[in-house]
Amino acid sequence: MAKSVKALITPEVLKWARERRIRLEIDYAAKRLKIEPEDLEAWENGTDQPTFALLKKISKLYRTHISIFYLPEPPSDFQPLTDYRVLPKQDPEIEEQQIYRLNVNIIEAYERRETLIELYELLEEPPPEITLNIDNNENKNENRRQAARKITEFLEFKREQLQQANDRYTALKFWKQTIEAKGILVCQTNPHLSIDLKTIRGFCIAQRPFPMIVLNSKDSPYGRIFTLIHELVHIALGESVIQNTNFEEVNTRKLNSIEVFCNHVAGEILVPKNELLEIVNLETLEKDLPKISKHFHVSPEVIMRRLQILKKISLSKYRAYRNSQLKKYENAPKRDSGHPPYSNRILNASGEHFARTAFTAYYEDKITISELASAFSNCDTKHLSKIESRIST
Amino acid sequence: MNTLLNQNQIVYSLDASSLIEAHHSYPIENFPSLWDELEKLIKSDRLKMHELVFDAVKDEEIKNWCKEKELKSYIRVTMDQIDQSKGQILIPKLVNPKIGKLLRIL
Repeated sequence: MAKSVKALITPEVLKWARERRIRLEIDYAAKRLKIEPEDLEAWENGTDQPTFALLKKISKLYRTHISIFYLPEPPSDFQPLTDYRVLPKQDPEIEEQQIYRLNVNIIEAYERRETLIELYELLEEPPPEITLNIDNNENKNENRRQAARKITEFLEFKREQLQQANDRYTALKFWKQTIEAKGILVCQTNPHLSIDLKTIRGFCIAQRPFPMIVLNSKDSPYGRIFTLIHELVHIALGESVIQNTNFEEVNTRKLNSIEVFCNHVAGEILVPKNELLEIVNLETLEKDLPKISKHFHVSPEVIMRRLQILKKISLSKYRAYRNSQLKKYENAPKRDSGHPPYSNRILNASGEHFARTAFTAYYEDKITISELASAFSNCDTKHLSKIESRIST
Repeated sequence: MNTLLNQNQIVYSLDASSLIEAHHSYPIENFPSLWDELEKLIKSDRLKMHELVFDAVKDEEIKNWCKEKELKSYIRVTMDQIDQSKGQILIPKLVNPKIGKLLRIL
């Protein structure tokens, strides 16, 4: 009998884990498990049970611990996102794998947030309260500027501090720290399960305490800064959403008004109207663009878009600029800057607030060294000291 | 009549964290005699780990030690050697049943 021992699991939980938790189609799950969909179906309705060896494979694919399947009934409170968007159909093979990876990243983010709440309980500290709320009842310009002002004030953002950043990576770090200081977590996608930029730029979980923003680690630093602020607007609105838009698409594809609102407010936060108009000279714009871009630490495209929104340049001029940039990117050789060190990638994925809290809990004897390692993607404990040394103080 | 087990009859069941913690506080290369004792216990079938627990140990140095000393077949207890009806009662206590997440450890 040895290898064929059946796992006496709860069928409803098996089904829940696939459908509701990891959100996989039965055919895709079966394909990845190298079994027939009918077999999986039989295990899910309880007419048969998987072998323990297969259950291990399932738990790996579903990214959960095997013990979950032995719960007496499906969990009732698992609900990481209220909204969910995916791109239009592409190559179905690629899309399935991308959606799988996206779902894994969402689950990891959700569980990291739950772990952080547990850590705060162990440390007997109340989670920071977030006093940020805006509404988008009116999509008028004044409303957008007011929302931007509210968020800027909430962050206690100071332009002088941002300007001390000499490069885009330092600027990204500044924004991450400014937002995390207010009890909003900033993480990045799992480097082992990277997601194409055209699938998503980022997403957020708006639940409080500890709403969470997850950025696509493949994006450029300025791309990540914009997504970060865009998702922050979503959090201020109090909803969870996956962000897969870009400036151009917002207009042409008429994505819903919330996306447009978030992009406009993010633009106003990063590049406030008055500050932009003060320094811009339309006659020397082309020459000045790199300097203006660096001044605000946003991409030149965001500057152009802002100028178009503020009616300083025409839509066709903005589009022409954008198209020329796209061509430039297409023709440019792919940059291979190499991977940052493993410990850095782990820390970026977990975010500094989470990391700091986990180490504090460890030093206060609230968790063990192996629990600490499991909080960082279950890594080898030898990486922990490097991770710790990279946390800013 | 009740008989107490003598010391040689006690079988220990270890969690992954025990090995990780042991190696963290008493590294294999610095405390060879401790790890020799553990090896002896394992080879006399008195120290066991469930396969899920054993496989959860990610530390390379511990894994290398197990490999070098050929301990896996002694220490690792597979699911087919276990009475699952007991597992069903015990396992949910590790899990937050509302959200389906392991408590603290992932």
